Amino acid sequence: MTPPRLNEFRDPAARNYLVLGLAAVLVISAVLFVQGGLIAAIIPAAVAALGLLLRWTAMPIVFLVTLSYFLVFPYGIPDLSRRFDDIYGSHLRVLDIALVGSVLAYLAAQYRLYSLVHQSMPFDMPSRLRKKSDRSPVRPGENIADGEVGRMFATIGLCVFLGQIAWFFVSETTINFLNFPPFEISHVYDPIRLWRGVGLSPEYTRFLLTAGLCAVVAFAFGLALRYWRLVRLSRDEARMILLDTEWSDARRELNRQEKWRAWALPKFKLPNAPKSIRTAKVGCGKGCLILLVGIAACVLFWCVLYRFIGLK
Amino acid sequence: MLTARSTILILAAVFLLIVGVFYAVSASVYLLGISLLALLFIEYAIFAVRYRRTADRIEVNRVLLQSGRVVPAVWAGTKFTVRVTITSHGSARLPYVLLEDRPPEAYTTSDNARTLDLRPGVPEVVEYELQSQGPGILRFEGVQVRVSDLMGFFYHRFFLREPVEYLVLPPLTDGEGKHRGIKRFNSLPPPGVHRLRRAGSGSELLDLRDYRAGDPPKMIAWKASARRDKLIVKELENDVPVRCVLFLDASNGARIGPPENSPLVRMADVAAGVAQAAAADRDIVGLTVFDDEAAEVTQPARTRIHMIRMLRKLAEAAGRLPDPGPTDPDLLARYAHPVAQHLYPELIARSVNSRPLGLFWIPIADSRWFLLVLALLFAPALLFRSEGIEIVAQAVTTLGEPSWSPFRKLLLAIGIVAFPLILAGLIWFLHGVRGFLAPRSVRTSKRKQLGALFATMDSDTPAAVERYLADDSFFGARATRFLTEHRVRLPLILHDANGQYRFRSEAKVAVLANALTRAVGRARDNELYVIFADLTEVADSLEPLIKAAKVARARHNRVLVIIPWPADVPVEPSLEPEKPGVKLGSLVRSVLVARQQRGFKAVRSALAKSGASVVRFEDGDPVQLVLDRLDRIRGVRVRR
Repeated sequence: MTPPRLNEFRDPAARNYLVLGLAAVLVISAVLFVQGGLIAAIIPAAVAALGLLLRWTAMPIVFLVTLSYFLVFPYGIPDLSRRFDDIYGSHLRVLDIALVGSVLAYLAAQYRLYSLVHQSMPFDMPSRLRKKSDRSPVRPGENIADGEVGRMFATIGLCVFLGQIAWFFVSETTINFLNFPPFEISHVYDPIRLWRGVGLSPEYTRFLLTAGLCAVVAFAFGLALRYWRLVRLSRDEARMILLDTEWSDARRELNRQEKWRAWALPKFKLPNAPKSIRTAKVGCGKGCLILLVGIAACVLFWCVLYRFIGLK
Repeated sequence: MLTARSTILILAAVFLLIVGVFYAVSASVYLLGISLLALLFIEYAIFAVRYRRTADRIEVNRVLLQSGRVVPAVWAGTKFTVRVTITSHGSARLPYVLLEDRPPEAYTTSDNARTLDLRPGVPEVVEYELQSQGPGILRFEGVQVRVSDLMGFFYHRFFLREPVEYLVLPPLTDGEGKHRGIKRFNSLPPPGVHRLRRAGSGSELLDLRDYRAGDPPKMIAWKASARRDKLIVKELENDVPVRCVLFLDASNGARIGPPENSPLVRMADVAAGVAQAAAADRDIVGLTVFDDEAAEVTQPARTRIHMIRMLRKLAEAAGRLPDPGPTDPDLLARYAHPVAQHLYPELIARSVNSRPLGLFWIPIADSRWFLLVLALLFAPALLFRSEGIEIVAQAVTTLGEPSWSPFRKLLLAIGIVAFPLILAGLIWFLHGVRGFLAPRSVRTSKRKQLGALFATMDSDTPAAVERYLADDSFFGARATRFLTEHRVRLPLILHDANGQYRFRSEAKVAVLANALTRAVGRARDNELYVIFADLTEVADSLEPLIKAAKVARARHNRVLVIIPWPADVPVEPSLEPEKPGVKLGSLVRSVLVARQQRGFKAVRSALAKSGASVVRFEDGDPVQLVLDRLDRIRGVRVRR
């Protein structure tokens, strides 16, 4: 009998993504070999291949960390003295494009493979409603549509292109708060301007530009989605939002009224409710304990104060 | 909603970006990070747009099929198919959707889910089979839809609420079917008419006897008179219409039990069998469903529509859930919150149903500690009196040293004066912060969310939300109603702390007696009243029923009481001696068994005095046995 794990490889859908991922790993390995060396080419590729073949769910993240390590230290030996000296004009390099594209392709293939054979959605059924037979959902192979892989490649290509644009924007722009707008395209790095304090350092410039870029995109898209959501609210959701807002505004006053009601009416008692089903309330014992802790803390505080004042 | 997978990937991408910005020696790391973020962003944008353009435009259509036909109600004991058709009227395609129909509680089915690619205008079908063992009500809440992208980065769950209830009618019983299939008569009597071995004005010959003065001449049997040489007259059978009225106990106590095997369900099952068998004999059958408060009467009739109506009444009665009565509100919240999470995810979400931090803070002004805090706060006011100042000064002198500077002594004095204030602040803080700790915070959170949900469902005001938080009885009643509406069974505590049965209902005896008396008032002679009721717990309170039964007997009617009998309780007390070292569980069980047996004996002896017959049916007792008893009690020669 064929083991179940091997059966997964026979599924054409899973096999397609498996082959795709392995091909991407091969490209990554080749690029790293050209950039760094044999170790840099082998270790991340081995991690990625393990993730693909054994479906270990932590492997993509381990792969990214390993890859970033070998990109920062191509020879595997930490060397912080190396600096980034070719920042200008470093966009649209073939090796970078190949590396980034293949990494994205590997990640996309890996996660789609996980969806097909491991878990495709979180298992978020309330625990009280769960049954023993419930399992994490897995995407069936027949759900794969024609042209899905092609669309995946198109998305990856778009992402690589956007990444290059972002890098161009970040690497070719300097920030000068004395001007308006505070950006200017500078094709040549001018250390004298930095020395004079006219502009920010390249690291902080990149950081500010990246953070600003991400914030603008996220804010604009989030705002649009939020507006869309408000436009398409269902009646119950709208009512709930209004109710919740009103309750939040008037909560303290309403709470006061409830206290008055509780004072006015006889306290609720459970006439027939057996004690065994009542949940234990926080009683007087805990309150006394809290008071004792409070007093002890105060005494301690006072002793410290006294000790502090009494020091000569 | 981000999944764990995408959250970790975003963190990894941010890490790559930071490394790329500050420490990288080439553009690759930065490009990797920003491209990864772009991939996540594009995936999310596609997912969000598709979801928004589709989610609120999905239509659900549900039908039940039995024997390949669409039916408005199903029969118990027969498999039926649930077919749910989902059609998207949105303008986008959802490539990966998991649809899961929510079957009624206590029904397990393995294939009620389907993964599909939901396209606009293309109906998709989820089909599965169910089988109900007993009569009752099936409630389908709707369809749970789970949407995800192809890589499992983003996920959303929502529920298409289409609540609908179907009746599960009692089965067309075997007993009835067999009964109807056996030909017992060469000619059937007229509908509703039974021949009695009593002289009357019927059409069938009963006997011949000597002529008595006053006998009508037309009754003289001339041939027999000629043979015997004396006047002989014919006696004809009596034609008596027999009506059978069923009384079904739907009180709270009868509803307790396993979902499809509670006494009420079993009684409804047998009552349906009896009704159908009686109707097969072309008897007129009526039904009265009674509980602790009222009786619902269906007047006796004979038509097929009437029979279907009666079966529906029986199914509705069998579908009643037990009312747990006053219950711990926290227990109710623990049951109601998962249901609300499952069925109303968009109304439980934090974005619309908030839980502000102030909600969890416990104000000290609500407790007695407030007096202590007040006292501590006002303690420095003692300094307004000279004695207070003297005490502080003496304390400073005692605790300090003469060599200290005045500033240092002033600091010490301030410390002494501020000590009560600090203590008060500490008590206030520790008292308030307890609300943030589990399990109190969990309880408060659930109560608030459920309260807001209930207020929204009832179109209530914000004051109701606060009342649900503060008023246990108010919350308990609404949560119980919520769970009952969604047909969720709560764990029932049968006995209170004193060992008394919590679901004993004396009121139902009075309701039953009134219904019986009313039925007798509208009856003719020779009617049969069959009472399906669990009376063992109220054996000492049967006076009203005894009086009503006597009235019925006085009008020449018959009363038969059928008491449900638990399957695991022996009919007679065990004669075996108790084993030494018996466990508590078996001891309690033996006490309960003895109570049941005593109760039945008491009911039988009490009702026997009024002329009523009391029988019990064990689990699985066929309808035929009941019919035989009915026939015996009626004393008619329906079957020769």
